[in-house]
Amino acid sequence: MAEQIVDEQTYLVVLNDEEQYSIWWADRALPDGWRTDGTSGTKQECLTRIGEVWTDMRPLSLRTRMAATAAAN
Amino acid sequence: MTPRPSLHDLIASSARRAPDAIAVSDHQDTTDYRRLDEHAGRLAHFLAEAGIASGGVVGVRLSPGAAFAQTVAGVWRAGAAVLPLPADRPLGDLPTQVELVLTRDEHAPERHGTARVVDLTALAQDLAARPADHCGRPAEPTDAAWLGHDPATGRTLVLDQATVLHQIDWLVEEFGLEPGDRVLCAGGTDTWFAPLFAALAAGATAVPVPDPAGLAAVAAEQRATLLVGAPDLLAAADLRPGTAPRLVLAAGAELPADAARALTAAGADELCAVHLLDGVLAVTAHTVAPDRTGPNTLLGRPIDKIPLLVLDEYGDLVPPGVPGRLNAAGLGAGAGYLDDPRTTAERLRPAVYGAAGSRMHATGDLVRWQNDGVLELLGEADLPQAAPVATASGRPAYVTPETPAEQTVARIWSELLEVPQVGLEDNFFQLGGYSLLMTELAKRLHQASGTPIVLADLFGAVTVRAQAALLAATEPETAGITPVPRDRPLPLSYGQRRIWLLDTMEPSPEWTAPLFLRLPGDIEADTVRLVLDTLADRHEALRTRYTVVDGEPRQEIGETLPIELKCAEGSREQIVELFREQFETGFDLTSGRLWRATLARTPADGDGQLLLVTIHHIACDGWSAAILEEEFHLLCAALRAGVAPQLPAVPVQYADYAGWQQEWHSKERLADELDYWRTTLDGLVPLELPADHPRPAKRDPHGDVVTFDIPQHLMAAVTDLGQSREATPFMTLLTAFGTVLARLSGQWDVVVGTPVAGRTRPEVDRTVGFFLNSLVLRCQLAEGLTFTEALEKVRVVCREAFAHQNLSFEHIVDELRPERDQSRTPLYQVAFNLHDGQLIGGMPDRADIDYLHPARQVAKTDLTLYVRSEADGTWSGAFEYTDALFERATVERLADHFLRLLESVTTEPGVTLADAEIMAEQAREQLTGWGTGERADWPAATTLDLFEEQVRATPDAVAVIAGDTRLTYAEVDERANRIAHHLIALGAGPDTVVGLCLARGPELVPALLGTWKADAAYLPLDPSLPAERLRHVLSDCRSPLLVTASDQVSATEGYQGTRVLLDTDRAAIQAHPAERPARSGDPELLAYAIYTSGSTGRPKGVMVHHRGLANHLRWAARDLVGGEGGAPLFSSIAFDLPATNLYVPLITGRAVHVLPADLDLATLGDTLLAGAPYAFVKLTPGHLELLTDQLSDGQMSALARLVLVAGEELPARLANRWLTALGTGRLINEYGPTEASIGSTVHPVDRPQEAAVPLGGPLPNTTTVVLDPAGRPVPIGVAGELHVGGEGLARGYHGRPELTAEKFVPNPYGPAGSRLYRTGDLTRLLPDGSISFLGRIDTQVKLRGYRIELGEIEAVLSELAPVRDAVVIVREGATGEKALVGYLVAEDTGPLDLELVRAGIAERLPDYMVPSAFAVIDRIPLTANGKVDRRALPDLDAGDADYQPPTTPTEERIAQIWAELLGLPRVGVQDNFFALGGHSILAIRMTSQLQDEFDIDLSIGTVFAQPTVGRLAAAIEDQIRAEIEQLSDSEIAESDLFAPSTATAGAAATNSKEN
Repeated sequence: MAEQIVDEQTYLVVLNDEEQYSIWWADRALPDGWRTDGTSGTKQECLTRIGEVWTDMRPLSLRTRMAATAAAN
Repeated sequence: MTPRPSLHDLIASSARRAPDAIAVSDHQDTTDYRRLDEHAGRLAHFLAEAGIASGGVVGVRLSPGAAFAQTVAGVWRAGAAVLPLPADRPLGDLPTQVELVLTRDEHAPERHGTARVVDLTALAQDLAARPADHCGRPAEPTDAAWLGHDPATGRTLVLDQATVLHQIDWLVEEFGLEPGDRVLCAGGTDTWFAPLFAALAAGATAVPVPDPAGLAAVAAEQRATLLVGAPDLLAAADLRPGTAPRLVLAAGAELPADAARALTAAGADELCAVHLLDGVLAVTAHTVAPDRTGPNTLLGRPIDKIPLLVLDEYGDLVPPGVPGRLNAAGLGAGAGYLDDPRTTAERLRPAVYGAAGSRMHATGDLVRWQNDGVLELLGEADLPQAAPVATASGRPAYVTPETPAEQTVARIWSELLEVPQVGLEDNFFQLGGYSLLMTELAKRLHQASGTPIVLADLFGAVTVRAQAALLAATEPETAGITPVPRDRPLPLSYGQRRIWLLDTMEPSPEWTAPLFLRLPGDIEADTVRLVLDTLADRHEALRTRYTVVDGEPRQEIGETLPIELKCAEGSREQIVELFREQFETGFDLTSGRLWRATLARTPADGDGQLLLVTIHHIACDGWSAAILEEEFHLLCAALRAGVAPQLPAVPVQYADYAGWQQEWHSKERLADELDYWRTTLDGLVPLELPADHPRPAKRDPHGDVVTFDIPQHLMAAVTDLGQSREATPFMTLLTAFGTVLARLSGQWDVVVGTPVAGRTRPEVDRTVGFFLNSLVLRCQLAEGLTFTEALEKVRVVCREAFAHQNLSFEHIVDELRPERDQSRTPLYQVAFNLHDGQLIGGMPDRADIDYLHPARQVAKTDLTLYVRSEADGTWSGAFEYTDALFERATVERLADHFLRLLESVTTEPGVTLADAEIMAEQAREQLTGWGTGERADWPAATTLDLFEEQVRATPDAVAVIAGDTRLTYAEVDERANRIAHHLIALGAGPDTVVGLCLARGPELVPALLGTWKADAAYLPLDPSLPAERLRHVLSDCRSPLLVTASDQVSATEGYQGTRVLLDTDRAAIQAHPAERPARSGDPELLAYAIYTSGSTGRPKGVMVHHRGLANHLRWAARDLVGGEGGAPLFSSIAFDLPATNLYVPLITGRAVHVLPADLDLATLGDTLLAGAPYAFVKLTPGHLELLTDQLSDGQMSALARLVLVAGEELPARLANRWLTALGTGRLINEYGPTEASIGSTVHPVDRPQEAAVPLGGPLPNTTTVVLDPAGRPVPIGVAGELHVGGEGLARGYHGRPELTAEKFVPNPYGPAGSRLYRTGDLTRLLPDGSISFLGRIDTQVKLRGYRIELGEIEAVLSELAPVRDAVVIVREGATGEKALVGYLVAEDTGPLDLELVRAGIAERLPDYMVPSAFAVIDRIPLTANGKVDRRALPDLDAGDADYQPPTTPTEERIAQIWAELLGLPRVGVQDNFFALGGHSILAIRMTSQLQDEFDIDLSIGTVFAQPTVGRLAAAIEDQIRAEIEQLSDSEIAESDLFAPSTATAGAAATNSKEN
């Protein structure tokens, strides 16, 4: 039986320069190197949003390198 | 004491002893005693002739020097009094009593006013002609001797002969003046005169120094041994080093610390200061400690024969610690003020405790006694009366109280708070009130108005106006406490009962209360004994016996038994040891001897004596100790003064209170009170603080204490913060303490106990006995509350609890019957005890801690916080802790956290409880240091790059050994290259995830490396797993390619992508080139995806990149590899654990031994040994356990150079077993989630372990941090979730962005943009910085090295048709074996076929996830907050606890007695007395009945320990057997053991049957 612990805090959708997504407490300062994509809401709302936007989980730098290699070939 | 001369022949006696000795050495000359004496005699003759008689007054206007000394001596010899007049000032108005003025002034007129003025220079010839002998007779003791004019007040205090003589005698005695001394007296003649004459009385040399400027020079030149002067003179003295006299005496109590230090530095051995009334009359003295800190001036102890009384405004004595006015009686009163009847009448009042008609001097000084008998000055006379505790910032505008009720309230506040003018709108707490004072306020309001006041109402009405309104609206009074007849059995109070019960069960030093007194050195033991016996006469509780009558404890008041008083002398250590013995000596409650005492002397404490009285708690509490202390001092003072003691009346005794309490409890209000507590305490959970040691099954009262200081600024901030919220310091400190407890335990529903005086009725104010009650304060904090919100909450909690304090704690315990648990105190496990210093006296202060703490090693709870105000105005704290649970260092850290939190919340009261800082900067830095792994700058290379380097280096070395097959590095490389080409041809490329389903064999390694050579990643699949699961994983991963073999195809049946069959496709593969294909080799590319169990029923694929994998393998290659051999691969590569065994050999030029797929674990040892020795072996604790059985110590040691254990918690026993076999440096515990690339931390096992082996500290390029639910690092010892960061962090979960975002979170403590993986592992940091594993936060478990989400099993079970709901737990068997157990709730459609369920789940889940047992239940039990209550699930083994009838006669009789006592129809063998509703009192009755029934001494402890019929019967039978064995044959023959009661016969029968 899955247990649901209701988390009523407000979170933000955040991402770093590698475009890796996560969530962070809305009422707290963002850690260095992270920015918000503008979404805030419950934990579930934020995670759902991430599910929609984070379609390629490769870090940005790798994606760039792989694209460059593909273009060269 | 030797009789002293009168003033009349003060100098004569010195002159007789040593006429040639120098009496006075002044700046002009020296004068010997003969000359001085002769001059005095001649002057006396002159004065007599001049008509000066006893009682006359002579003005002496001379500067300090020999002339002054001999003139005063002459006046005294004439029986007259001296009025010193400054020589450097003209004669002003003289009192009319002055008949003659002696001076040296040739221009002086012959008369001044009515007085005759005589120039001594002119008189010299006359005097020379007069006889030097004695004349006249000594004056009467009550005749005036000295008229001290105080220029500061303009008043002249008259001292009589006896007083002056006493002042002189006291100085001589106290400071040991003797002929060799040279006494420097600085200042004019109108200053303190006594030291000059004390020097002369002692035969010493007096050195008057009128000019302060010359003091330093004179001190050096005269080699003074004593220096006397006003503090300001001493401060300015500037003595040269080494010239200070041995003793410096300050004529005034306030010697500045700087001056004291300077004098000490100049060489003074001892600094003393005296407190002078009107500048002339010394009443107290004390030794000055230059380093003393404290806001108040010390006055010191009273001078002998000067009783000092500290009285309140009603003229009543106040106890130590309470401010009052100083009154000096006896020889300290003075004889009145010259020509000032008004001041005389005002200040000299009838003495309250002195001889009939005697007077005392009301000095007006605001003072208080310290506990050690030293007086401190709080305010000088005639200054406005400053309230000691009130700070009245922001007081409302004054509104005059008008109605009688308002005036009454205002007056009582004014008295209590010592605030002169209380206005209608003033707030009690703002004026300095606190909660304990509320009790006192309620009592006084009750007394004044006649109406009883409900404490709770008072807390709700904090202004004068509101409280006056309450007075008007209250109901008529209930019956008070009155004496009850003593001719019938007297009941025990609830408090007495509990102590009696606990003490009877197990005597313990925690039931011993101390009364610790410091006494002057000259009090005789007999006096102490007499005083203590008198106290026992006064207070029945001290001579009460406790007996059991008809199964009920009763108190019987007996005659006073002489107290057991020991006298001892020794070092401090010896005294402490004696005290410890005294604390640990128990009391026999049936004997009526409830106290004992030791009177001790130790050089460490100077001349005083220490009196330790230990009293059984049943007869005493803190308040009682204060009463006893006060009465002790009063009795002592009276005995020494030879007067009848006047002690306040004790209107009722303790037994009267006990009777009243029973009455009170029988009333209907009991139900209301109980309802309140029942509701308040509903669902209470014991507070479990992080401990250093496992909790013993039975509470150990042994304890220790960690003390700390609360800095003054911090305490002031605490008080201010409280006052701004109408909260007391108690509430503010409690809120902070509760917050620390919550932060450390993770339990926010914090419960803290606190003692209250329990004296809610005024009648018992003077009664000695156990009134102390404990209040349970359920703070119910929450992490999101701000501190001020929490304070508000706690304030309400305290108010309500204090208002419901009439119900005794013991009663609540009995009624609520919390789960009986001998391992902890009931209802609360942590306590808070604040001594404001005002109402609860009798407590040792900081100085006494030296003796009491080491002597009394008791912890009354797990942890008790004591905070008290010290005599010097500072605040100190102490944590008393049970050392069975906590290490000292842990409690010291707790104290640090508490202080840090106080700083944090007083600075920023709006901070939330979760956010408030509890760690000092240094502590946080320490955590960061521990959590940061070595920074290793490995050159960038993938595992594959490293392998290929090795191929180039050692192409012909053996790389793979599989059965008979041996592959060299070159061969493996070549095969891998061909496979790579093949895969590329089929579409593999960067980040392609290629499924790999192969049994262990020679082809495995080339296949793995081949995927990498294609720039692809592999997804390892274990062919033995259920097809359903493999299918799911493959489709989840969308693997376009699957490398397998034809004999494994069935495992992946239904796979839609392209299969590469290594056997069938061999030719095609062989056709590809042997050279490696081109690849990007980007370290960010995936190396593999490994699926782990997921809570939602779906396994999740962890995507690990090359950078992370290589980082781990680099460390392993560097730190694990040495000696001979490679490593064995013998477990499923579907998990990441064996990757170390697989790849580390391949990057270090060694061989990986691929053990066969059909490996029989029963022969694991032999199979492994065949390839030994290995450089290292990595395995799970389960494998290690197997090997323990299969290998000898020698074989264990021969297996591998290093043994690395990972995958599951490593039990201590197993670790120790291998440590023994391997020796140090060869066993390592590793921890790491798949998400952080195999390994994150390691802990070398180099010492025998007491608990499971810690996880250790971070590996290179890895960080670890333990965070609380709010994401903040937790302090050492506190449980939190382990987060891992660094190189090893995986990319995320394949195709699961939400889950990845949830588990891989921003890292605020690392490089910008970095992430942390939330491991879900609950851990804590040990004091050495290593991480210790506590369990899982979620329902994930590890079984035999497998990571299992119980939720996944539950989800799969619930999907089976007949199952509606399911819970899976891990159950630990008696042998420690863990197993999965499933609890199923059936659909309504019909009964469950468990066999079908078992089969269904086996199809979907791997074996290790299939529960080994199932049970069907009606519904899933839930906890109060809706979670599955796993503890409430039935134990599968227990079966039905149905009624089992008693079988033996003993069981039958016990069951019968229980049934009668509990009013039950029947009682079974397995039934638990307490579960059936038995409580402590019933247990006493039951014990009593069983004792009669079986004729044995049965302890109540046995009943608590053996609470079922069956176990109790066994215990009783054991005891009967033991008693029989004790008897001799003849005794057995004579005894009736075998004869009478059926039960005993039954027991004997059982006995023989068993044998």
